Amino acid sequence: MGEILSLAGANLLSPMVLCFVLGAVAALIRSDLEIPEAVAKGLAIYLMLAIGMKGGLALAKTGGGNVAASLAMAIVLSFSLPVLAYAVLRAVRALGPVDAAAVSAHYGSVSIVTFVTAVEFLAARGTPYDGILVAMMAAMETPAIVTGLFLASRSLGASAVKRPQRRAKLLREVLANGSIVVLVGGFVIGWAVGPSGMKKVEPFMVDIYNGMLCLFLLDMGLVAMRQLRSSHDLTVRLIVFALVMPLLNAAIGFAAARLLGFGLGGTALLATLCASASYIAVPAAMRLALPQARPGIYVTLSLGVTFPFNVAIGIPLYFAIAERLAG
Amino acid sequence: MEIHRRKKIEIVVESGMVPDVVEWLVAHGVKGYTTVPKVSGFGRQGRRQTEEISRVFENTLVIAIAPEETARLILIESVERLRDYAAIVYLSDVEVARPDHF
Repeated sequence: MGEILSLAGANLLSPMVLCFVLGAVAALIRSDLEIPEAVAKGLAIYLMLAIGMKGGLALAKTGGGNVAASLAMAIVLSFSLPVLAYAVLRAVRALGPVDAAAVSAHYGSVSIVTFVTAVEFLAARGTPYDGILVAMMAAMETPAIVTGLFLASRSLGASAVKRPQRRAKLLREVLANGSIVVLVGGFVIGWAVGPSGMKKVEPFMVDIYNGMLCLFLLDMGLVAMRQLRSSHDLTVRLIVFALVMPLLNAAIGFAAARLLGFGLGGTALLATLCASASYIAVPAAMRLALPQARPGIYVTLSLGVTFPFNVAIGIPLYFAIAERLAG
Repeated sequence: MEIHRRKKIEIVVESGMVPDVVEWLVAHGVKGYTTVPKVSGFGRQGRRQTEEISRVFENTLVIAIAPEETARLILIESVERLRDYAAIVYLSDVEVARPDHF
C-alpha cells in the first residue's frame, strides 16, 4: 500500500500531471485560459506521430514476437469489454439500455492520451515496454463501437440504431479517423526506419516530447474539468461506475497480459488501455449511430471522471500491481 | 433587372451530421449550399459549444436557397430525418437575381 501511495505521489508531482491539474484548476476558477484549437490539434498530431514512431521503434528493437496473437487479443478485448460495462450499468440500474449501451462502448474502446501519459510514466522509471502495444491500442479503438451498437439494438430494434449504408460509412469514418491514421502511420515509419532512422528525428520526436505533452495535458485538464462542470446528467451511481469500471477492466487487462507473456511495462500498459475510456472517436460515432443516447452522460463519464482518475491515480496503481504480478 | 422569389433554408445542426444533411439537400436538387462551422448557442439540447474535444456538442449552420416547393419538402422531411439530433430547420423568403443558380 505504501509503495502504491509513493508511486501515486511521484506521479502527481510529475510536470505532465501537474500541468493537467493546472488546466483543471483554471477551468474550476473559470479562468479565460484557452489553448487555441489549431494549437491543440497540432499538438495532438505531434503526440500521435511521436508515440506511433516510438512504438514502431520498440517493435523493431524487440522483434516480432507474438504480434498476431497480441492484435487478436486487442480486438477480442475491445469487442468484449463493453459487455461487462453494460452488465454492470444494468445490474446497478444506473442507466436505461440505450444509454448503458452507449457508455459501454466508450469503456471498451481506449483513450490515446491516457496511454501516452502511461508511456511517459514508464519512461520516467526506465521501464521498457512491448512496441506492439501501440498497434494494440489502434486495434482496440473500433470494435467496442460495434458491440455498443449491438447492445443498443437489442432493446431498440436493429432499424432504430442505423440504416445499413450509414453504418458502413460510420465504420469507415472511425477507421480512417486522423488519430488512427497518424498513429498507425507513425508506428510503421518507426518500425521501418529503426534506431538509425529515428536518430535523425530524435531532437523533435523524443527530446522535446515531454514539454509538448505538458502543453497537451494542460489543455486536457481544461477540457475535462469544463466538461465535468457543464454536465447536469451525472448521478453518484454513475460517478462510482466511472471510478470502479477502470479497475475491473484493468483486472482483465492484467489477465490478458499474462496470457500474452508481457513484461512489466507491457502489462502495465495493457491494463491502462483496458482501463481507459474513449472520449473522441466513440462519442462521435455514438452521436451519429445512436442519437437517442445522451452525450452529456457518456462524454462526461469518460472525459470528466475516468480520464482524470486514470491520469492521477490509475496509471501508478496499474504499474504497482504489474510490479507485484511480475514478482 | 428582374427579381425572383426563392426560399432560404437554414439548418443549424450538430457538426457530425453535416455530410448527411448536405447529401440530403443535393438529393433534392439543391444546387449549392454554404456551411458556417462552429456556431455556438443554447437550446433544447443544452449549451452548444465550439471548443470541445469530442465535437459532439458542436453545431454547424448550413444555408441553401431553393424553389419553394423543394424547400417545403425538405422542411417536412427534416422532422423525421433529424428527429434525434440537435437541429433547427427553418425557411424564409429571399429574392435572387440569378434564378438558374437556385
